[in-house]
Amino acid sequence: MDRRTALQPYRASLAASAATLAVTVVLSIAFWRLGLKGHSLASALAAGGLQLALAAGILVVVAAATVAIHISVTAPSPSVSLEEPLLAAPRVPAIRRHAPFIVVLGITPKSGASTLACGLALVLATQGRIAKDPGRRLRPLCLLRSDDVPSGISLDSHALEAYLRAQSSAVDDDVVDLAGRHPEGIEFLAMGREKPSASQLRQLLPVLRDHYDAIIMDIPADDRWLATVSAELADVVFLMWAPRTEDGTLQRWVDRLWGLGLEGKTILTVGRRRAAGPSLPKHASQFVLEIPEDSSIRDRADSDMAWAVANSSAAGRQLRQAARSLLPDLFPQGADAR
Amino acid sequence: MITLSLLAIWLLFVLVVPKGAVYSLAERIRATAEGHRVFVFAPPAELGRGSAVSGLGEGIRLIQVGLPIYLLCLWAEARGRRRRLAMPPSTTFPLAPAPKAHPPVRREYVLPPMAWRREWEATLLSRKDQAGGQVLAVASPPASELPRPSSSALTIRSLGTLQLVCAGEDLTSRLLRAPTLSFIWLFLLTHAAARPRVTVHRQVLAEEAFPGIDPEQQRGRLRGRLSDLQRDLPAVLSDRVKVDGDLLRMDLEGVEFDLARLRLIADDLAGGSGLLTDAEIKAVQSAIAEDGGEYLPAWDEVERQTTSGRGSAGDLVRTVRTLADDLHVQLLVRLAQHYEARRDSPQAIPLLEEVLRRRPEREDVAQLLVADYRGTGQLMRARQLETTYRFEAVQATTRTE
Repeated sequence: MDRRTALQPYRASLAASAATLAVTVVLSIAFWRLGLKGHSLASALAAGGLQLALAAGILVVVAAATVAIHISVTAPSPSVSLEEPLLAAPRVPAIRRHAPFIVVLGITPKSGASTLACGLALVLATQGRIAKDPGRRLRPLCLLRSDDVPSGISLDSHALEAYLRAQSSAVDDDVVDLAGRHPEGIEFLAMGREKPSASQLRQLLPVLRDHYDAIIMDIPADDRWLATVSAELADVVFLMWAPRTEDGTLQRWVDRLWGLGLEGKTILTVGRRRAAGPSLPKHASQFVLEIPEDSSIRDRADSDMAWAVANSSAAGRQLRQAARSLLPDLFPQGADAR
Repeated sequence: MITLSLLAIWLLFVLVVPKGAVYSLAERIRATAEGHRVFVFAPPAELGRGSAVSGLGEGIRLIQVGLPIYLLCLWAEARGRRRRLAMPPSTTFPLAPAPKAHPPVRREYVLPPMAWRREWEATLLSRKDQAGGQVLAVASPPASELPRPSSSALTIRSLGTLQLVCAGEDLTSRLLRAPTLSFIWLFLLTHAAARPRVTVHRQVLAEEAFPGIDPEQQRGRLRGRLSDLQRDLPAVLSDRVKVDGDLLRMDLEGVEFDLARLRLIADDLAGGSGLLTDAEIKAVQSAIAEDGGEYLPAWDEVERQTTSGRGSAGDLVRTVRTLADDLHVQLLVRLAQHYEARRDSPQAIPLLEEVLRRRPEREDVAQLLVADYRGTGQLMRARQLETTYRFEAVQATTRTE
């Protein structure tokens, strides 16, 4: 990291210090040149000079000693080299539906929709419980595009597409056999090239609700028709956006979903937050979740979703906190609250 | 001297006054102290190596917030560091992951459901009565093969229903008319099913039936209800409750109780794994067909009306429900083993599928089923099952490592 980047967070305070120093010098020259030594202010400054200098000197010594002691006893933190974003606590509603259907809609490319969908599924699968049966972990289903299924999952990415083509009239329980299973208990279904139609999605959902405790669907925003149908069926829609592409897309999507006139739906905007990035627009939605730009997510291997449950991950902590508030019935009292 | 004063004032400004993010200061310190942030503001500027340069980086940090807040930040960062160190690197999960979802297997009855048969037998009986004792031929197994209690004995059907029949009369509604009496009677029945021949102390029953009140009152009320039980219930039901001082029990001697019968058959056959005799096959098939669902489905309503679920009686019922399910699975496996021994895979497959539906964790059953699928040419189904269970086996191996 070069010096300019290293000093970036401190630019404002250094500039303020330098500016006040300049003012001090100018004032000093002004007093000397204009011959204001007889002025009452000059007299007061001259009289208090020794005391002020003594106080400043003591402060300098204390500050220097503090810094010296601190750097000698504290090791530098290798984990953080950039300023961490200040994250607002997630503002999310409580969804109390049996087997909730959560749609994660990536409204800008590379907004992290699949990463968040898989992470949320992992949090549910590992830490979620059902109040009636606390001795059992949850079984969530992730419905993803074929390309987004984590590697290592034994799954035919065209199976669902072929099944839905063959089953023109009804979807039956056999569809759950097509899902691939992650070792932590998450199951994945790939949507294939031809994504499900509205009627197929309507038939599919009740069957999936019979077998899974939560259904998380990740869909791209380029398929607006599928996005609209999914939003109609969803209990909650996550609108994923990246702050660097703030061009009104988020507002347009919020307006579009609002325009559908659906009742009882929750639209939750999820933004990726950098320290220097602008804060989320408060007018956009009532419910927001900020996920920090986190190197543990960026550098993850394709099949590694561990950031979502690692305690060292700020993004994981935000997601876990949001999941607990969003789906309180799936995190009964007594489950791990870290 | 004036210049010195101005410089001192500037120095005081630089070292004391915070110069940024004042509004978010409290939130930042709180998040840092809780371990959610490493630094209150940015990390120290990395200007190079060495103590002097590190000191300069820290000095810049100090200038940003001023000495008092800098000290507060150091305290918050140290506290947050301790909290993070106290956390495990990732959350540990004591429970096993959820097993793979499977579609339910449609049951293929090897015998007609017992309810149909009973209904048919009752029809025949009524016809026989109408015909003035004329005997009709009944296409049912000989009495020697399926021992039945005498017609005057009490029959208790508790799996998937609640039916108390004596001498052709259904006494269920007589029992369920009084919720507290039903609770006491069904609790004693369930206790006898869970722990045959073990008595219940009067105080335990009183605590279950009247939770949350004074023990003396509990005993008084129980005494009254036991007296009501003797008076209000038909003798064939009330006589079953045996009171011996402070101990009570349900006497099931001579009673046809479906769960006890299921247990008897399962216990008799528990030892073997080979061929069964014809009588044993009929007994197992009859017991499997007789299983209509969970034990005492009416219990939840009785418990809600009586105690609102405050006692632990519900746990006892749930234990017996699990027991009934275990016995049923045990019989399914035993019958499947018989067909396996005869190399009759088509007969064994539906039984093994049913076991796997109820117990997806039974990998031994999955292996048998895969072999049967292969043996009967159902290669696709075998592959599906292999994919699922091989995956879980790999996972188990990884965990062990």
